[in-house]
Amino acid sequence: MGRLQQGRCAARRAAEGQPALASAGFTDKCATEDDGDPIVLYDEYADRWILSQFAYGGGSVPYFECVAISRTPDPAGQYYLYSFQVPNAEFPDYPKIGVWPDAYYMTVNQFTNLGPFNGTGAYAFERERMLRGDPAARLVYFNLNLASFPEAIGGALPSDADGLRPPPPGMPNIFAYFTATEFSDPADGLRLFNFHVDWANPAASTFTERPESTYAAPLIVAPFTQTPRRAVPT
Amino acid sequence: MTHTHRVLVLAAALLAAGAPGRGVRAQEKETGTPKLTPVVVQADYVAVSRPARDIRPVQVPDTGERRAGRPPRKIRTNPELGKDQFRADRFDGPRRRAPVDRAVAGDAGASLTFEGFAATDNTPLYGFTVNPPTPTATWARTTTSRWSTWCGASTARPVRGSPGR
Repeated sequence: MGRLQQGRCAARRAAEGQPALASAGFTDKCATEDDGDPIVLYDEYADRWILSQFAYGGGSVPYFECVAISRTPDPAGQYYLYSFQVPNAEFPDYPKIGVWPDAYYMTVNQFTNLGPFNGTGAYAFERERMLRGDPAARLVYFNLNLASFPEAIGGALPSDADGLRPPPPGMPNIFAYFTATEFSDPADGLRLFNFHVDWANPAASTFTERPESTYAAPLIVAPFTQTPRRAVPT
Repeated sequence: MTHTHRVLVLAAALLAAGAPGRGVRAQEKETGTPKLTPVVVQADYVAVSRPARDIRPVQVPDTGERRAGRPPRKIRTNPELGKDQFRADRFDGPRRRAPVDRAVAGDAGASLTFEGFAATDNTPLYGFTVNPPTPTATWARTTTSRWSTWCGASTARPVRGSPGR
């Protein structure tokens, strides 16, 4: 009966245009805004579900990343709801999340005060605590902005581990983005980075470029631009 | 609930002092990557939701449309964009993906997916998987690529990053 009543309340709120998550107790923008770029991801190591979207309500700071972790393997069950406030005025647009043993890693394209593009934000969310619903869960953030990387890192992705075989313990998450001469980059290729998060000593967390690549000499792949090839029969 | 937003900007000196192994400075010297300072933020608010199955609209009107048995909607793609236009299918084939394999497959061991690389914001161009999961076979060090959509046929120079949702 209790669940049924809750359902009726949610239905009424939805009918009145009130975001359903407001009833969970949120008072920040994660409760009042459904702003988009949603993500649904499955954590196969923990058999849980991850939902997220950002919240910017009205466009002024602060900005939020809203993350929900299922309490059980049941995606239709209850969720731990987390709201993380972005630590600066960089709106975290186009978020992409990857599952890794020590964190949920995320990349975003940053737009200062919802205005000009300002590079990439690299995030690590404290997966282990979030899976337990621990309110002390943290994130570690690196600002790969234009001041640090004038070449403009954008469209970067964290790696998302799949399958039953996890990465080795302690292995950093590999971030990647591609450079292209069409963007006036020196070469077509990939740049690879290591994001190592240290939850015991977050100050020791690092974000470094892997030895395979630099901006001037990325990991070379075949050119992105080539002469037309034969049409593919349909 | 107030915004208990705790931001700890950590001194760069702590990085050097606390970094294990080679340390940031050594890596910076090797790769030229700027030394970056991590920022730690605690969750602003945590709660437990109602069951998701209870969060739903009042009703979903029956439009009378029936989807069972209907083929999926086809999306037209344009694989020929011309020699001067941007293309990003260059991971299409094991030979072209070999550098990526060599770079990360051995380290990872696990299956890693990079899905949805984008030239401009949310337009996914391609993705690839290193060490794809093969539950019924061995863990082959191979990669696969999967197309999502193609870059639009516009002749305009792509611009990395543009706001929009």
